[in-house]
This record gives sequence, C-alpha cells and structure tokens, in this order.
Amino acid sequence: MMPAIVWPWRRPRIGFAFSDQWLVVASDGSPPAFSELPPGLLKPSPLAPNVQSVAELARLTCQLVEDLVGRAGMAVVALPDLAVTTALFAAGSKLKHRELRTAIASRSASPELETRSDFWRGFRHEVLGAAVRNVVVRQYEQIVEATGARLRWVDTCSLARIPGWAQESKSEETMVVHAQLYRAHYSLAVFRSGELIDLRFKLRPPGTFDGVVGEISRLPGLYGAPVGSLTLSGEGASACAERARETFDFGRISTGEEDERGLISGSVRALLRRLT
Amino acid sequence: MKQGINLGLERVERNHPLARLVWPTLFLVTLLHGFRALRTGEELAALREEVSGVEEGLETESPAMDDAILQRLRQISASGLAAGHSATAILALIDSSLPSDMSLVALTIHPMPPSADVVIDARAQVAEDVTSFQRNLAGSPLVSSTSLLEERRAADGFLSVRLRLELRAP
Repeated sequence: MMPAIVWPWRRPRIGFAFSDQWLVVASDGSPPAFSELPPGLLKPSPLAPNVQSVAELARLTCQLVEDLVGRAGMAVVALPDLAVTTALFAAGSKLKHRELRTAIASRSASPELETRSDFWRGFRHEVLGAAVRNVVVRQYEQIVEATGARLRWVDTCSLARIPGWAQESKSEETMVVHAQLYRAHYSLAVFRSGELIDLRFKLRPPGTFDGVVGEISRLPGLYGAPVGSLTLSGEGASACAERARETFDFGRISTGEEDERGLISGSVRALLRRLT
Repeated sequence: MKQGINLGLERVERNHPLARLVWPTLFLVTLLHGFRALRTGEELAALREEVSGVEEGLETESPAMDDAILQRLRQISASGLAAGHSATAILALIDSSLPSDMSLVALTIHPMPPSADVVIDARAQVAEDVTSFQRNLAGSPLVSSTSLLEERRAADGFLSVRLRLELRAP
C-alpha cells in the first residue's frame, strides 16, 4: 500500500462489528482481524449502555486497526443484534414515516426522543425498521471515532444482509429462509418472491438447535407454502442442517460460515459494499 | 432503493429538516436533567440531615434494648429483598422493559438466597413484543438468564407467555 502521506485520499474503508464475545475489524482486500473480548466488557442491551469501559474497548479497537491497515478512512459499524429493536411492518400497513417512528419506539420500550430509528422499504413495500437508544449507539460511535475513522453507516449484524437476500430471492417462487446462528441467539429471515415476510430474533441456550429447527418447520403451515431453500450459517450450522434434514423436508439446505466470527465478518463485508 | 438500515447520526443530520434543533434540544434536556439532579441532591442532603438529627435524639435505656432495636432494624433491611434486589427495583426493571403494547398479568418472586428467580405472566398481540421484552430483560445487569417457559395463543387472539428470570446477586 502507498504511504498515506503520498495518497492521503486513499485511506482504507473499514468495518467494525461487535458482539459480547468478539470484536471484528475488516477492510477492503484484507482478511478480517479479530479480538476476543474479556468477559463482561460488552453486554448487548437495547435499553442500557452496553460497554462497561469505552476506553478499554476503544484501545483494543485502535490496536486492531493499527495492525490491520494503519489508519482508517470511512467506516461502517455492525451493532450487536440484541442492542437494537427491530420490527417488520407488512406490505399492506401503509404507515407514514412519523407513524413508523412512533410504532417502533413503543416496541423498544424507550421514549421516542431518546431513540434513533431508520427504515428500509422492500420490493413489495414491506417496511423493515430498526431503533436504537442514543445512549447505546453513542458508545459504539465513540469507539469508532477514537480510531480516527469517519463513520458513514450503522446497521446490525443480522439486518446488514437482508437487502441483498431480498434481491437474490426475487425470482424464487417458494419460501427462502436464512437462519443466522449466533452463540446465544439466532435470527430468521423469511422471503417469498423477494418480499421479506417474517423476521425473528430469539435467544437460545448455546449449542442447542431444537428451537430454531422447530420454528422453521412451522413456517409452511403459517404461510401456506413450502420452504424451498434454507440457508444456515453461524455456530453449528452443519449440525443444525443435519437436524433439520431429519425433522422435515426443507427442499434445498445449504450452510454458510461455521462460527460466530465468520458470520459477523460476512455482515461487515456486506456493509462495506454499501460504501462503494 | 435504499441500500439498507442506517442508524448513523450523519443520516439524521442530512435528512431531517429540523436537524439544527437537535443540539440545542439536547443541550436543554441535559440542562434540565442537571437541574433536576441538583434538586434531588438538595432534597437528599436535607433528608440526610433530618435523619442524623433523629439519630442523635434517639436514646435507649439499656444495652438489651439497643440490641433489640438493632435486631429489628436488621429484619427490616433484610425484608423484601430477592437476591439482594428490592421488589421495587424488580418492578422498575419490568416496567422499563415491557413494550407498550404488552400487558403484565402476574408476577411471582421466589427469593432463594443468595439468588432468586422471578416468573412473569404477560399478554401480547404480536410475537415480536415478546422477543423485545425478553431481550430488554436479558440486557439488564440484574438478570443472569431468561427463559421462555410457555407461549400459547389464547382464544381471543392474544399471546399468553410465561417468562422466568434468574436474578444475579449484586
């Protein structure tokens, strides 16, 4: 890489992701760097500040950035799923932006004035919403600012991939299900002809699959259509796929990244693509 | 089409027509909070003085009576606690975690020193509210774990749930 003093505008784009166990820093064209966080340093919550010591986490983050790229340019951040409240408003709801803000603030159990929210409209006019308390997101922003990066995009680990999956599933007639298995929770995103029809986040005891397999097996009855494609990624994706095959006929089953770090890195890479 | 969700502040500043009011409003809110904290501090100081005045005025007739008073005070301070947390702290946690479209039906606190657990019965219209509620509770420093014991759709269309929290000793 050219020294930054010669090419000051060529500062690398950089992505950050946080979970209760991992700090991930990724950049264009280089493999991501990881740091395992000390227990208790980060506890994701949608209500209370998540980071026990912002200074300590900022120090670890700066160190990873220094090792990976030297200095950071524009940045994206994937917040932990459990730090953000999400909601899916069906295609026919026709709510205005103000009404959406009020609806998601009431769901997050925090005052609207103290909450930051944003919405993404899907191909069939369904609306995906996310809200985060200012005190929560501010901690992550301080950490990114400490690295000298300019923050351009803030999303969550699971939601970062939804627009891409919606695009990919536009031509699929049957239901397409993406399950992301984190250490202590999972997310399910269900698409039909490109429309996001269901989105769930559930806590799970580490190492168990019964909840997620049971939940997916109920989807055909709920939506009156078979699951044509099921993609599992994250902690124990292969074992979960095996259990799914034993339990129900899901059509195509594929597995992605095999651990939480890989899953989080994939989300950061998806977010980095938004900067191009 | 938008590329996805963006919860960054930059988006808010660029898109919101009232963005210029954000910082003055935050300043005023902070000022108001500071003022309220000051008032609360003054009230606390006054109460503290009053209590110390009462303490100085207390006179007991014998060491046995002192012991009896001390015993009674210990009993009072130990009552109503679950895993070292007062029942009001647990209620405040549930109140702040409950999404507005969800209603609390019953609450049972089982104190089992040094830990405790709480069983919550609640009703919701949509499953997402249950997840939000569980997630809000799990994020609290008071709570060591949460589990969904029961979830069923009642005849009236509402979702009845039973959640169990294990409290962490402070």
